[in-house]
Parts: sequence; structure tokens; C-alpha cells
Amino acid sequence: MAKLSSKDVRLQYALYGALFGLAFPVIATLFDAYRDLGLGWSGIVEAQRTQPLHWIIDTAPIFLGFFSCLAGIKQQEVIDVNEGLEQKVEQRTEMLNEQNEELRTIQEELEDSLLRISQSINYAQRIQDAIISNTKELKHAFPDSFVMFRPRDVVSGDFPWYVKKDGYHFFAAVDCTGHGVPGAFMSLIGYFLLNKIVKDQGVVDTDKILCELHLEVVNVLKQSAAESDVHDGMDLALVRVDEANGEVMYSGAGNPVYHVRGEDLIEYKADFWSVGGTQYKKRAPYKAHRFEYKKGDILTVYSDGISDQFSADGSTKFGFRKIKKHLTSNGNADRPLAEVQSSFENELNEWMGDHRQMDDMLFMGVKL
Amino acid sequence: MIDFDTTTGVFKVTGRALPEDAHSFFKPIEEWLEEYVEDPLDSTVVEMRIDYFNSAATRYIFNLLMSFEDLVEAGKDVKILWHYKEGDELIENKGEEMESMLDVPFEMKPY
Repeated sequence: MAKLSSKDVRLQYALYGALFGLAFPVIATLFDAYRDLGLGWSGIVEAQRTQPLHWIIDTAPIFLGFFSCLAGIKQQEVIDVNEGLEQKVEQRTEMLNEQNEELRTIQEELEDSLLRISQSINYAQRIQDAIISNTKELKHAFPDSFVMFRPRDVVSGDFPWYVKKDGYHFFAAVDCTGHGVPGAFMSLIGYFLLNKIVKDQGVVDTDKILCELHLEVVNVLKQSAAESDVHDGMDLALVRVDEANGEVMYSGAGNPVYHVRGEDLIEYKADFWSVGGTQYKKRAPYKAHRFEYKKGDILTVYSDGISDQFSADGSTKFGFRKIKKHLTSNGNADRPLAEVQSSFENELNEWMGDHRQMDDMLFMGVKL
Repeated sequence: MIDFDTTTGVFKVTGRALPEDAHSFFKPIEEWLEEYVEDPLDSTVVEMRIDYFNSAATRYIFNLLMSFEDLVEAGKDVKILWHYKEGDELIENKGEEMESMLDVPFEMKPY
């Protein structure tokens, strides 16, 4: 079809050009004949014969036909290019439509996956909550206490733990490696092992509890196998409060405990090695710290999700100093801990701004 | 970012270590390192310049650094340079703790 129309355009242009050109000699000759010789066959012949100017005019159809033909060829080229473009546009449009369709399918699949994953995780959260949210018991044991618990994702690798055994109160802020789903798996392991060791086996010294917890985690995750490359485990600050003797016992894997009295804060440092994993060749048994307390003293433990949190502009981390300062300034040590918690959260929120939360956060405090 | 130049023996770890799947992130690096330790250069410099670890990454990084202990035992020259931002006590503390746990020459470098 393109070929036929191409001939048409060139021919048409040549023909129109020639016809238009023909008008010149015809009009010129008729005009001459009419003016000088009279309108008649002989007049026309005479005009043509005697005036060479007509001969030049007579070539007008040839030239105009020729140039029109050239214009026709150009025009045809434009038409051809346009047709090519139109075809390309059509092809592209078709391609884009196909791609759009594909993207829409992918988007639907993603939305569907996301929905199912979040439903699954939300459901998992109910289970995790049911198991590890024993903050009520802590509240019962220490009416003036707080637990600030902010999972980064829905489920969490951090968890607060509280148990009462043989007249001792035990509590801990536990930070399992990872966050989200893998963190939550670890948290359940940690939760049940701590319960088993303290409640069932009756181990009540904090250093022994951590040593036992380490062995159990290694055992559960089969980390002692030579080829094991599961380094997971947990950091925790574990506190035992002995109300009868006014004494606190603390052991830590990674995370410290703060003992606050008025404007004074004493930090008891943790041992370096985390619970679980076999990578520390120099690992030694966990140490225990014992110290006396007075009524009204505060003990706090936390996970490093708070201190490691970046500021709104991502330039600096929250650090330990702000935590310590918050506990000791503004007479906070004498205020109800719920107030201290909420002002702390305000400070933290302001610090974070729109920066995403980097890790699970857990901060617990009790007034003795 | 991890950059290990086996021609100069400079091993660089920089940036933020917060892989969601720490295991598959660090596994290949551990494997390179195992290979390197078998056929090391005489001198190795480990440049650590990290401004965030998550708890899983800390363990893997400790593990990586521990494999340099084998080089020290083999009589090779190894040095760990621990860069931390002035005032970032968390990274400074982690460096100090790792220093005390590792039998590898360690230098703390505030910047």
C-alpha cells in the first residue's frame, strides 16, 4: 500500500505542476492572439510562430511538472517517515501497555505478599506478646516501675523478663541478636531458657544463671558443633533484688545496670561476651556484682537500641550520657518513674525526629 | 563497605553494618579471609571505620577480626586500626572491648 501511494503522490504532483505550467503558454498565446491577431486558429499559430518569447513560455509545463515531481518525491519521503513513526509509536505503545500490565501484576503480587507477611507477623506478635509480656508481674512487684518497649518491627528481639523465685525478684532487659522475625525466635529461646534455669532448676545467682544460659543457648542452637556458624545469642543485664537483705546482685552480658540514688549514678559494667556463640576463645565465667540498696533507689537496665539510635540528621548517636543524665537531673530520681519514662520518651522522640528506628528498644526501671 | 586488597594486604571495613541477614552478608567475607590466612602477605593492615553495628553484625565482625589472630601466631605482621568518630563512645567502647579480647596489635584512631 505504501508503494502504490508513493507513486500516486509523485505522479499527482508532476501532473498538477504540468497542468499549472500549461496555463502559462495557453493564457499568454490566447492573450497575444486576441490582442493583435484575432481569436482564431491562425491567430494562435501566428503568435507562436512570430514571438520567440512564447517558446520559452511553452516550456513552463515541463519545468513546473519536473519541479513539482521533485516536491512530490520530498513529500513522499515525509509521508514515509511519518508512517514509519506512526508504526513505531504504535509498537511502543503496545510494548508499554504490555509492560504496564506486567508491572501491575508484579505490584499486585507484591501487595499480596506484603499483606500476607504482615498478617503473619501480626499474628506472631500476638503469640510473642502472650508469652513474654509479663510487665504486669513486674508492676505488681515494684509498683513504681516502668518498661519502655519499642520493637523496631512488629515482633521483637528485645524482651523484658521478670520472675519471682525463693523470695528474690529477678528482672532483665534481654537483647537478642537480630530484630524482627529472627530476633523473635531468639527471644522465645531466651525467655524459656531463663524461666527453666531460674524457676525450674532453681539457679538463683545471677552469674551462674548467665553461665547456664550460655551453655543452654549453645546447646539449643547446636553451636558447639565444629561446623556451626550460628553466632546468635543475646546480650542482657540481669538483676536480682533481695528485699529481705536489701541487696542487689547483677551480672551482665554486654549491657550494664545503673544504680541511681538522687543525683548519683553508679554503673556496674557487664562482661564483654554475649550469651551464645563459640567465637570467644577467652570467654571466662560471668562475674557477679553485689551491692546494697536503700529504699527509694532506682535500678535501670536497657538494650543498646536506645544508645545506638541516630539523631534526626543521622550525624550522632543517642549514647549513654543522655540516659544517665536524664536519670539523675531535674530531681527525676524522686519523681514517679512513669513521669520519668514519659519525659525520657519525649527527649528520645525529639532526638530521633524522622530518622528511622535502627533497632529494638527496651528500657526498664524499678524503684526499690 | 568491605574492600580487601590482597596485593597490598589492606583490609578495609567502612560504613554502617546493619545487614538484615548478617549470616549471608558475612559468610563470603569469612571465606575469603580463610583463604587469605592460608597464604598471607607478610604485613596486613585492617582498617575498621564503622559508625553503626547491629548486634548480629558485632558478632560477625569480632569473628572476622579473630581470624587475624592466626596470622599473629604465624609470626606475620598484623595491625588493626580502629577508627571512631570523636565522641562516639559506643564505637570507642566496642573497639576497646574488642582490643582486650583479641591477641592482635590494635590501635584506636579517633577522627
